[in-house]
Amino acid sequence: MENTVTLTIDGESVTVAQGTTLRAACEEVQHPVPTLCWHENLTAANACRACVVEVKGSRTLVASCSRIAEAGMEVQTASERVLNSRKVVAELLLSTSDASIAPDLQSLAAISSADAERFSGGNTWAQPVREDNNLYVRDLAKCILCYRCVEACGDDAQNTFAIAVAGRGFNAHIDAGFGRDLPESDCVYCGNCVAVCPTGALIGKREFDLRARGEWDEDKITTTPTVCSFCGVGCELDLHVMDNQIIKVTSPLDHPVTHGMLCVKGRFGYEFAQSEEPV
Amino acid sequence: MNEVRRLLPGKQTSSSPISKERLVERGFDRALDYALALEPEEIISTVTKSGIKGRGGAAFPTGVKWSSVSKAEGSVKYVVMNADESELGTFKDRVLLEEDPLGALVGLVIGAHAVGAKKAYCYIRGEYREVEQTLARAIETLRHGGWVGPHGVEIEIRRGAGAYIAGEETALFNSIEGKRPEPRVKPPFPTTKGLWASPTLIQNVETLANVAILFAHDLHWFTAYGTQDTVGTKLVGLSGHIRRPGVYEVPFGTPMQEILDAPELGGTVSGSGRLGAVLLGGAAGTFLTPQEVKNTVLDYPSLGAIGASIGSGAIMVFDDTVNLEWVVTKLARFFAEESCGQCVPCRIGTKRILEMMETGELWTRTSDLRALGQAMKDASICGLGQTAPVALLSILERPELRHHA
Amino acid sequence: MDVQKSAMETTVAARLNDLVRERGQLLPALWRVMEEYRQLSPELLEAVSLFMDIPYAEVYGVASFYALFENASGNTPMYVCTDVMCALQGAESLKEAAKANLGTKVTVHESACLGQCDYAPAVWSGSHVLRRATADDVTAAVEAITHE
Repeated sequence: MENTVTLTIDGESVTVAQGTTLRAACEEVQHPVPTLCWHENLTAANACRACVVEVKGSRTLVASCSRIAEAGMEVQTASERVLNSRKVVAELLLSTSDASIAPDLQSLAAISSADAERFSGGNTWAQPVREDNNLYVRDLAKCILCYRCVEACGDDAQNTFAIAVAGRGFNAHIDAGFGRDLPESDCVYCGNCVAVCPTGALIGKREFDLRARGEWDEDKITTTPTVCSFCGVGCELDLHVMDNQIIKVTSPLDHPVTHGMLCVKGRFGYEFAQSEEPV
Repeated sequence: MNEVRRLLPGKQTSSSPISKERLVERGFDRALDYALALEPEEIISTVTKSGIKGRGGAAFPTGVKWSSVSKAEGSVKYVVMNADESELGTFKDRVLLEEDPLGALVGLVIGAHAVGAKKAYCYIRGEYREVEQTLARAIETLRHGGWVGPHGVEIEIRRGAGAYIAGEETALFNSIEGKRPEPRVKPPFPTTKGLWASPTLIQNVETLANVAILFAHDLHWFTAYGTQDTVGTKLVGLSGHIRRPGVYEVPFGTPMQEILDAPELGGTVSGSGRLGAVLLGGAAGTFLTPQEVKNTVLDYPSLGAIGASIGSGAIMVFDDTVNLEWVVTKLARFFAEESCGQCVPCRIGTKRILEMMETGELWTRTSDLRALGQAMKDASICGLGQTAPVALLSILERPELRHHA
Repeated sequence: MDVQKSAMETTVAARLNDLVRERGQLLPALWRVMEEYRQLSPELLEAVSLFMDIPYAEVYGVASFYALFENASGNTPMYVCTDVMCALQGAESLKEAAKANLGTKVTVHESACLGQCDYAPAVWSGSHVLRRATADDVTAAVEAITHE
């Protein structure tokens, strides 16, 4: 067929639609590759390199999140080189950032048998938490520079461009410009950066405070779907409830209107829903 | 007999480097008039037959690249001269642009005609302020001659601002586009999606100068020098413990030892007078032992056999008193400071290598360094991260260099 | 409205006036401001952001990438190459010489390879290169800037 391509993944022949990424093709044959920066509703940033695979004839490994499958490709998802890179990527991140609430990074470390100590002992990203507004907190010691927040703030979703990557090398970081506080920035508090952050570096204030007090308990959290009532768009919301309190609001990633993105009212307006004061 | 002057103007050349007279003296006016009257396919065919390979480090066949850009779909195409020379120990493009700025520009104009581009950029590193001004005057000379302008190709100079990575072709495009100069993932390659997502021909200064002298003469003349594998001459930059530091033009195939020793070239090792090692190709190059220097010639197969490459043409010479561990630490700092920070292996890897070098762990953590180096070579986005560990790994492969360290 | 700030915005706008307001002109715009003010302060980047119509965070993201835009003092920068080839030829002592006679108008930066290895050690003043520089050359250059 003209609009499909056939390739082999770990020796297994697979036919996928033209334009399919290697990552997606690997998933189809159930040889999934781990990812960190990749997000289903954002442009692939190619930054973390956790998803690299070996393609026969290619000098270097290739990022499966963005390489498009071609007919006849021979792909290996678990070659010696792939396993080494995956492991080193995990170890380098663990030596730098606080992964305590980063499930994807924890699982990458586990499947690659990463040794968290191997490259530790040098500079890290340890830095003070920044609480400059009432809605979300920036705990950038947890940041792995996956670019997701920048993309969500920019033309992948919000088109606000309040934050960007600044500096370079080990000092590259997410910044609103000269390190300024969010209230002085262009931020509109949609919280879409928080929604896509894979490590808790950007985190809702409510969740941050509960975790700080040791009261955040995943087992006690239930999720209730509803439709946002602030305006007529009809965004679907998932209310995360613990002890009869809404503690976080998200939207399903596969929702046709939101793709997981909300505005400030939907994301943080729950403060009003449970306020006893009239708005 | 070893020093040739073709890319570099002959010593008897008397005209000002930016003058109309220089164009005539070097045969570049003839080259332009001849090439611009040809069909693009004829130009590309000549370039292909000449066997010119890219001189920026990757040695990609120039004719193949021109052909790809020419055939790529798109009504707007660009050509770019990469003069962002920032590789450590590398200064050949600077010298070439100082001595003969019109050559590379003539190559650029011919390239634009060959691929159908109306707009060209010269991207030059910000530290080459004086060279940039020379280049601007040379462009004016071509404008007065009618080869540059609205009816041919417009040339704009872009000044870099201190970023080694901006010399990586896709990072360079981002820099011109006003974005952070972070490299892009390839494919797509610049030949199909380069500057502003249009097909783009990007070439190093020296490559373009080769095109100019090719058309100023002919194939027979051009191919008189070189080896079976690589035709022509190469600019090498000698620095460090060498009596005559500078840029020299030598035919491919010249013995490495002769480059160091010949009286008209390096003029022998200075310092202690005894060679300790050579770092060939820049910060991302390979350390060669004195024995390897004796046994190799300047050509890709000869050097490839010992895991080395010509790279940028940098030949950094160290006498036997230099602590190579100190050199490797300097290289590590260079990469850590110049990494763009985009991908994990390079952003954190270059930092960890620097830290390990600073604490003197080169010879005690070889397996960690090899695993890290391999991951950087395999999984970094671009050439910077992929080659950052190369010099370090090359020293681990040459334990005989350890006693210097 | 901050009077000083709006005056700066006007000056920057005048300096950039003939540039096409598109993203591709950001680097030339930053260079023009840099040449006028020898620094890229928050206020200056704000002015560039406004004039070019590019978000402030993005302007900062680009500006903060480049080593030559890093000169918070606004002094005349003096770049001493301390990379391998210049270090072999005594760059450290040049750096010390420059710093010893610094005064208040010059800021010394250590630079990666300036591409002048054939004339090591090299120092770059932002407009021209001191080749095979000696401590005396550097001291004289610093003094010349101080008495400008």
